[in-house]
Amino acid sequence: MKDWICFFISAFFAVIGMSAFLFAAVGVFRFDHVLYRMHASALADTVGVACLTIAAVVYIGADFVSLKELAVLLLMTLSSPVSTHLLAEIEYTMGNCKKESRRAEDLGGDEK
Amino acid sequence: MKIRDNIKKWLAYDYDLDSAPVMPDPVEPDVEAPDISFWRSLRRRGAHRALYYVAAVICSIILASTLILTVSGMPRYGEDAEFMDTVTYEYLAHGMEYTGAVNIVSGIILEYRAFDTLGESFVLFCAVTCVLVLLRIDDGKDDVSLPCHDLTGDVILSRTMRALIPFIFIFGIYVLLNGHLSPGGGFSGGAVLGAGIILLSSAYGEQTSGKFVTERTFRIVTTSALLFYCIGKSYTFYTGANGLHSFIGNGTPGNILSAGLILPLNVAVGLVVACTMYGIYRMFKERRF
Amino acid sequence: MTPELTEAIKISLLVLLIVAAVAASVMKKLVPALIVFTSFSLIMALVWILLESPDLAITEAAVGAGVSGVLFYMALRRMGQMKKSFIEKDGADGSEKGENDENDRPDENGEDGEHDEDQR
Repeated sequence: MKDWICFFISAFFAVIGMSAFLFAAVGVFRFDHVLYRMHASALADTVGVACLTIAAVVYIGADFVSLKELAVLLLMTLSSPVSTHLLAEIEYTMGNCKKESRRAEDLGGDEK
Repeated sequence: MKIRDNIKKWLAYDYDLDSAPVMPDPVEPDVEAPDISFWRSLRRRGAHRALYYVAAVICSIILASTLILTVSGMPRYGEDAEFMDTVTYEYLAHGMEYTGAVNIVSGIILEYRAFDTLGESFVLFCAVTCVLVLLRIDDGKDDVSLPCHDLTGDVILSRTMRALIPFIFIFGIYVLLNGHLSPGGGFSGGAVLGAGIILLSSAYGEQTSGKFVTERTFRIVTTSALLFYCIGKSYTFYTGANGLHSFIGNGTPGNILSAGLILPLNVAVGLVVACTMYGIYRMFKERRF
Repeated sequence: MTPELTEAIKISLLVLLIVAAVAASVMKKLVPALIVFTSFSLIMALVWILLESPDLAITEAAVGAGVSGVLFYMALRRMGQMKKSFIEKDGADGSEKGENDENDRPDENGEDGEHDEDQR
């Protein structure tokens, strides 16, 4: 009985994680602008990795491998938002997203 | 003259790949001018490009078929014992008692085939020396850097990397020191250490990483590591070839201080690799250490 | 993990490897080709793990996916391949050139500019 509960919990989390990866992949392909694509890929980095790691930990049980999985989750949480932040900062300061963000406001205004 | 101008433009971030000089359009030869030979008229008509494409496809097909035929003649992955020749059998059967290393791969590349690993370290050293020769600014002038957003003092980056960089360095040193006991060794540990130093210099600026990796440090570390490799391994070669007793024993397999000279040689190779990675990065970024 | 599942994963990873190698060679823009090259190194590291050689997996992950991509990016920057993304800001923002993000496809800027001019 306990095995069935563990299996269903890990299957539930695995399905959520994989669907997050699917949505992130479709989003990265279909969006036009850089910041939209980054927003879509951040979904994969946070929700996808967290749910898949929890599914693996629940399935394996109390073993030394589970500690390594949690360490992987910690390092991913620590490093991937930093890189996304740096890319977004460069794009916002130096790129043409100011054109993109003001395009809806000033149709026919001066180009900036 | 043109080549030198192009190189100067490349070093000053002025070189535009799209406006590079292209070959002129092929000129059709006049019928009344027979003073060009047949082969030169072919080149003017652009026949050498078609020849290049045909030769490229033929060479790719020959190379791919040769490699596939060679691999298909090798034993299947996972089979053993009937295809092994004597050298492989010797390595696997007596490797651990001869070298003292639990990791047979480290034992092979640093004990049986130590000469080849020395050559690889020399190749790395040669690469970073060539980059230094080509790109270094000597006479006090500043490099024309691309104006870009300076991410050095970024708050999020520095605060987060403060927690992460010590673990990267510890992991690199662990992989380096455990070359003879677990997967790893000189090249892997050196690559991780080099990546860690690159991250440190990106996050905290050149002043912080210039405190412990300067040009003098780089020179001393690489040359002394290679010299130590040469001298140490020559001693072992000499005593092994003449049957003398060397004072570097093998120890018990499984200890950290075992396997003869494999641990110090791993450290030497790892230091060379780390300095190479960081040196090439600095040369490309700022053209000075 | 049944042996068939391992074989299927191995074969699909190798097919992805070939696709990435061909794509990195025939792409016209160099910056996306660099990104595909980095993904090639990542897939190669996974293949090394499946072939049970962890030494090569660690080295490939550290060198190919980490340091090699950074050095290629530095070389491309020196060659002016980032120049296509340069925009010139006018006096209100300060007259300096800026460098665009490497994630952006370099032909996006041209399309955005055309949109603006059409709407004016």
